[in-house]
Parts: sequence; structure tokens; C-alpha cells
Amino acid sequence: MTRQVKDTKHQAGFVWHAHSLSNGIKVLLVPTPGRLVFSLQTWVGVGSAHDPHGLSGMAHLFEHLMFKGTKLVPDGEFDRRVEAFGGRTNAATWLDWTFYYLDAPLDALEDAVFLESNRLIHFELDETRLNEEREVVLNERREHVEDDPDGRMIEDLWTMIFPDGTYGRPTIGWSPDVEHIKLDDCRAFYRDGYAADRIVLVLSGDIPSNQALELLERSYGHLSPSSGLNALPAVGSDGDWSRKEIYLPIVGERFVMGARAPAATHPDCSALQVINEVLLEGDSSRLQRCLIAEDEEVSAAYGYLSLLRDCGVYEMGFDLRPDRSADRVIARVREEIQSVIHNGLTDDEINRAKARLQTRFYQGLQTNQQRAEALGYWSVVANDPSFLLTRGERLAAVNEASVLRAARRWFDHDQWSLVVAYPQDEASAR
Amino acid sequence: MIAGSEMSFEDRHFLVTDDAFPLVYFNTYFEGGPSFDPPGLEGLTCLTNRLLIRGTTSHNRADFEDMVESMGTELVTSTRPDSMTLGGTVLAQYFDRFVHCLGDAISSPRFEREEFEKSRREMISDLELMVDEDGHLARHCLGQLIHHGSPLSTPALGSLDSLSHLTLDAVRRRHQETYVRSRLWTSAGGHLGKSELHQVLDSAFRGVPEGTSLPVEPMKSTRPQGRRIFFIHKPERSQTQIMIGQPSVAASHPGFHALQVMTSAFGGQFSSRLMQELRVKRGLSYGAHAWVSNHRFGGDYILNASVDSVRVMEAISVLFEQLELVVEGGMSDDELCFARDHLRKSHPFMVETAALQASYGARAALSGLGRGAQAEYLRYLTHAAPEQVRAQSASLLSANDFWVVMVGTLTSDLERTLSTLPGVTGVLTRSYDQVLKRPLLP
Repeated sequence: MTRQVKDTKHQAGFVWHAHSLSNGIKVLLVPTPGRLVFSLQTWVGVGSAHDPHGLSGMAHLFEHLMFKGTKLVPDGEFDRRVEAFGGRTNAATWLDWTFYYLDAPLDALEDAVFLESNRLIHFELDETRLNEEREVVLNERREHVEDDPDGRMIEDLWTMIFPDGTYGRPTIGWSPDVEHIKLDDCRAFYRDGYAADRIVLVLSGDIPSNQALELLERSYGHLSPSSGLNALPAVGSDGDWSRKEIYLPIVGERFVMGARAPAATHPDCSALQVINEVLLEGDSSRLQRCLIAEDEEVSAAYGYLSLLRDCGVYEMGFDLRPDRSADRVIARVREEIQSVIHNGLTDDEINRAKARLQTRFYQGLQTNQQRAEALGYWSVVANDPSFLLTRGERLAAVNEASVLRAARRWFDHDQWSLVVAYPQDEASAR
Repeated sequence: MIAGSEMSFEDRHFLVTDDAFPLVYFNTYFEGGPSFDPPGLEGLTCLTNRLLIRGTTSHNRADFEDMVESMGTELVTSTRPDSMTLGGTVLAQYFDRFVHCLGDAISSPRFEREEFEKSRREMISDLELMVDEDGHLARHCLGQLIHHGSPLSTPALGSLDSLSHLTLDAVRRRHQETYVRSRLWTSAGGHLGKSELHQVLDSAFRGVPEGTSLPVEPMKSTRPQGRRIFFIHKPERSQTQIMIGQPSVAASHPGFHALQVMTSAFGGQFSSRLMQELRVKRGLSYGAHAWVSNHRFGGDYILNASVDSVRVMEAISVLFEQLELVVEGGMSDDELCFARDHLRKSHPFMVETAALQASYGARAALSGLGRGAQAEYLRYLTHAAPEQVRAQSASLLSANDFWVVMVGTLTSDLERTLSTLPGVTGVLTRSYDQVLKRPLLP
């Protein structure tokens, strides 16, 4: 089966071909003629939303453990061999997925496929390796969450939005949970999660399809389907739509606010992305213009719609200039949201947003790694890589009516969680 | 398929065509940078660059932003040690309009007083808020310390004091002398042909005066005497940022490629020494790296690790020890050959797309390298013997004279212990909320 990304005006783009191996592993091949490097990606349909109860951080720690040794590739050799053939490798974990990439020059294809398939199929673990990586992960958490103002705030925010759903647990895990993860937990997670029916391989490069398929079948064909993965509910019951205040060693107030949003495949996502562009993306966006350029309240602001399998999140963040008040900015933001709910957006705003999103769409497909990642993401989150195209079609169809409908359905409520961080020296005053 | 063509248009414009998507990456680069800010007016270059996109003589700021962003793009500016960049990524159908907007911004900026004051306040705020991000704060301070006394120490954002002294007249003068054709380079990658580029550049930059070339004086940085520590105290830090830095050579220095290879072996990859010693063997850090940032006038050589605060002494001792081993003993043949070969084999990633190829060419030119820079680099990586790499690189580094910037929670015990480290000739400390309020050094 073949699909193609193309712009209807320019008739340009890229193609991909969808296949399956004999054990059910899905394969997407993306030919990129003339490129001297390729990207091999393994997308696994398990993420931190599948962490067992009391063991948050399992999926992420497991991702780290996948870089440890096997019988055929001893500890430390994986990275060394990749670097030896001029490759680069890393991985990422989020709520719905974990993905691993190995990018390399074309002449390293066989080596790359061997290394990736070997660690997937012949995963091994012992106490020493587990404890080593646990310490690395705890260091990572300290750096990116405990000592990082935004990391702290966003972790709190998501816990409020999903207080008893697995989406509300940090992907990196809470320290006590990470410290309790045992060998047997990891082995069970591997057995149930890293199975043929949960994996999508994406290979983007100047590689003939028959060569690629033969190599992948030979290398990955031994992986079995899973017996099932019992996952706790991702969303859970109602969110905590209150305000949390924390004090940090910072000089300016800052806050993040978020609300539940549609799942990634919902038709309203495109309209909400347009709304986000108009509110917060670019110097001409409403909130950047009034809060940064005109009123000079804010130093930096962002908005982001998380596209997740079960339920999205629309999140906004604001870093205030010193001596500015978060409450004033929060009020302004809420006013602007109400304005969109009642009055929608202008045609000019919608067209500008669509043009910006289209530019970013193409920007996100330049390298082999980017193309593979885009297809892998939608393969796992939507169970269909061609959702990459569906989104583009839905974006093109966004208009004033669909914006108004989406804004009223998803923003016309009081269900926003809010985390406000104050400088520590304000604690006594408060 | 990327055509892979590199075009010469009066030798200052790099184009690589790729018709896969209807998109063009386009950047202008102007030679110069914060090193040319007059003493007491640090931040002038950065402020001038920002003001270029805050309106033109025919459009106020809001109208100009609307016009640019209606094309689905935005104008992005940045300031590097050797250049200022303005550009963006635009749908091919708007390329002509976009470059004309850019040309207007460069040749006819509005320079409204209100926008000048706002931009200045914005930069002051950026500086004040930098203390919230430990890594950025460490890097910002390190650059000033390792080049202390040289124009290379000038931070792009300036200081709270220097920003208060900037004037709109100074901005206008800086604009007139800097944003001229004789200092302009461009790079373009994507859905664009040579003749179209030629026409658009000719038309869009017609209003940019020829000007004079950048007067370049050598900029030398002097190392400190001994190992000097600057500790920025912040409460409740579970991790401590450690950055060790010293001046490095310009990209055009004959020993630069050797330094790149050695640095890759030392701290550039997961298999490199620092990663193995700090993360893999000892679990001290999530990551430990070494890198050399180079530009036309010089560079920085930096080691970096973010470590568990309770083990900071162990970590810094390992970093010192490893630097000594590398500088005095050198790295093994195996390590150097491995790094050399990795850099050569992985080079295609640096030029995988049209945009990357075009900007690679422009950056090399801005760094004072010739048009054959890429080929020369790859030749070096093919033929350089490890003893050659060792000899050339070790002479460019010191294991005894450098700065250490740390951001963490300082206790009196820690301060005392730091001063007892081998080779340490001074420990300066400052609270994070005071660090940028006065010069780092007298």
C-alpha cells in the first residue's frame, strides 16, 4: 500500500509504503532518493500511560535500559558500534509511545538493523544495569524537573488535569516510584509491551524496498505478539480545576494553565491549533502582541495542544517580567479566551494561522529523521500513518464556523488548572 | 533529490535547490557581532538587530509583523560572536515578498523611539530572567570570564548598566556602519532557482548601501592564572551545574581540526571519555560533554556536566583529572582514530538538507574559511594521523589555567573544600539574584 504527501498546488512531496512482517510488525518504508543517510525508527505503542500502578517512570527507565547490553552486544558496545559507523542514536518516551532512532550512513544499514533488532528481541537485564540506569534517571529528573521551574510547574499541572489517570503521572516518574522498580517489573513490562503487535518500524532513506523488507523480516521476524498489556485508565475521573501556588528561586512570577482537549484524531484538533496560533504563536498573535509588545507584562509565552491518543491537553505558559503580577496576566488571558468563545476569529487571523501551520508542516518533513518520526507518531497515536495527510486536509477546511464551534465546545467552561510560581522572597509577603 | 549545487553570486550567496517541498529557508548574515560594541555600550549590536524588525519607514511594527506573518512565516534575528542573522522559512510562493520585507527592514528600519525604549526594556528583562535558568546563567557568565579583558568577553545582551547607556543615535550609527552589502552574506535552500534568487536579491537589497568592509583586529584572550572558580549560589539545588572553560582558537587556525577531533574523543559522543567516566562508570551525571565553539575571531573550549549536588566534589575532581590526562598525556591512538572516523562518517548529517548545506557554506565563509573548507575538513578527517592530532591539539589547551563556573547551593564547607582543590587559585561567590547586577570581575 502506498501513500503520498503532496501539496495540491505544487505536486511535490514524499511517498511512503506500508507493509507488515509475518509476525505482524508494521513497516513503513520512506524512499528518499539521493540522501546519503537513513533513519531507522522503532515506535512502540507503550508509554508512561502504561506504567503499572505505583511504578511511574517504568516506561522511561525501560527506554534507558534498552541501551544496555545483550549477549551478542555487551554493555557499552551498542553506542560504540553506532558511532563507529558514523551513526547517531537516541530515544524518547512520552505518554502513548516510546520511540528509538538510529540514523546512519547508507553503508551501515545491515549493522544498524542488527543492533536495533538484537536489543529489541534479546533484551537482557540484571541488578547492576538496573541500578546504574536508575541513578542516571534520578539525575535526569533532578536536572529537568526538580531544579527547573518549568519542569516543576508542568508536572504539577498535568497531575491536576488528570489526578487519577495515568496521563497525570510524570513520564520521568516520581522518585519514590523509580526507586522501587524491580527486575521482575522490568521483565514483565518488556514481555507485555515490547511485542510484535505493538511495534511499528519506519525506515527512511535511499534504500530499495525489497532489500529493506528482506532485511527487516530476517531480523525482526522472531518477535512474538504480546499476550496483552493491562493498562490503567489514561484519563481517569474529573480534573482538579483549581489553582496551585509554589515558591521557587526565580526572579519573575510565572504560570502555566491547562485544560482537557480532544483526542488527537478528533476533528476539532485542527480548529484548536488555529486558535492557538492566533492566541500565542508569532509576534502578531493576540496575547504576544498585547502582553509582550504593548503592555510589557510578559517576557515569553507559549501555547501547545498535546495530541494524545485518549485525551488531549491545551496548555499555555507565561514567564512574567520582574515586578509584574501573574493575576493581572491570568485575567487578561481569560478575557481573550472568552473573546474567542463569543466572537471567534477573523478571516485574516484564520488564514494567517493556516499559512503558518502549513509552513511548519513542511519544515517538519525535511530530514529522514523528521519524516520517519512524523509517520511513526501517527502510526501509534492514530493507528494510521496517513493521518499525517488527514490533518492537513482538516486544517485546510478550518473556517470561522468550525473555530467558533471548537472554542465553545472545549474552552467554554471553568475547567482550567493553574499553577503559579512566585519568587521565594515573596513567600513571607504572601 | 537535492541538486547539491552550490552557487556563487558575487561569492557571497549560497544556494542549494531542493524541490521536494514548496519551502525556502533564507538567511542574511552581517559580519560583526557583540565584540564590536564600544566599551560601555555592550548590547548595542543585539539591540540594533532586534530593532530592525520592529517596523520600517513605511510600516509601523504591528503592520510589519502582520505583513510578514500573513505569509505564514516570521522574521527571526540572532546575534553570534561574529555575525548577526536575520531570516526565516517561507512558503516558496511568498519568497519574493518575504525577501523584500527583509530588504526593507535592513535598509529602512523605522527606529521609533518608543520601540527603542521597549526593546531596551525587553533586553533588561531577558537579562534579569536569565538567572532562573541555571545552565544559561552558567554559560552567560563563563563567556565573560574566559575572555575577560578582550572584546570577545562582550555578552550579546550586554549588562544592566551598559543597556541603560544605549541611545537611539548609537543604534543608528551602528546600523549605518554594519548593515551594508560589503558585510552581507546570504544562504538559501529549497524550492528556488538561481535566476530567481539573483533577481530577488538584486531588487530587494537595492536600498542597502555598499558600505565598507569590517575592520578586523586580532582579538586575543588571556588565560587566568591557575584554576579559578566562580560559584553562583542558588538555594535548594539538587543538581550543580559545572562548566569549565578556556579560550580557544578561531575556526581558521591551522590546529582547529585537530582540536575538533580531540574534543569529540574527549566529550563529544556517548562513548567519549567524559561520558564514560562521569555517567557510565560513576553515575555522577545525566550527561557530561566537551565542545569547542568557534567563530571568526576566536572560540571557547568548554567542559560541562550537571551533577548530583551531594557528589559535586567528586565530579569536579574527575573533570580536572581527565583534563590533565588529555592535555598532558594525550589521548590514545584508538580514541583519536575512532573520533576522527566518526566525524568523517557522520558528516553527511551536517549537510543532509538544502538548508543545512547552504547555511554550512555561509557559516564557513563567515568564519574566514575558504570555499573549499568542507573538502579540506573531510581530507583532514581522512588522512590525519593520531600523533598529528595529539600534537596539534594539546598545545592549544591548558590543564592548569582556566575558569570554572558553578551554579548550585553553596555551603561554607563546600566553599572551603573547593579552595583546596589542586591548582585552584581563587573561589569567588555570588548569589544568583545579585550575579548580574555588577561586573563579574573588577
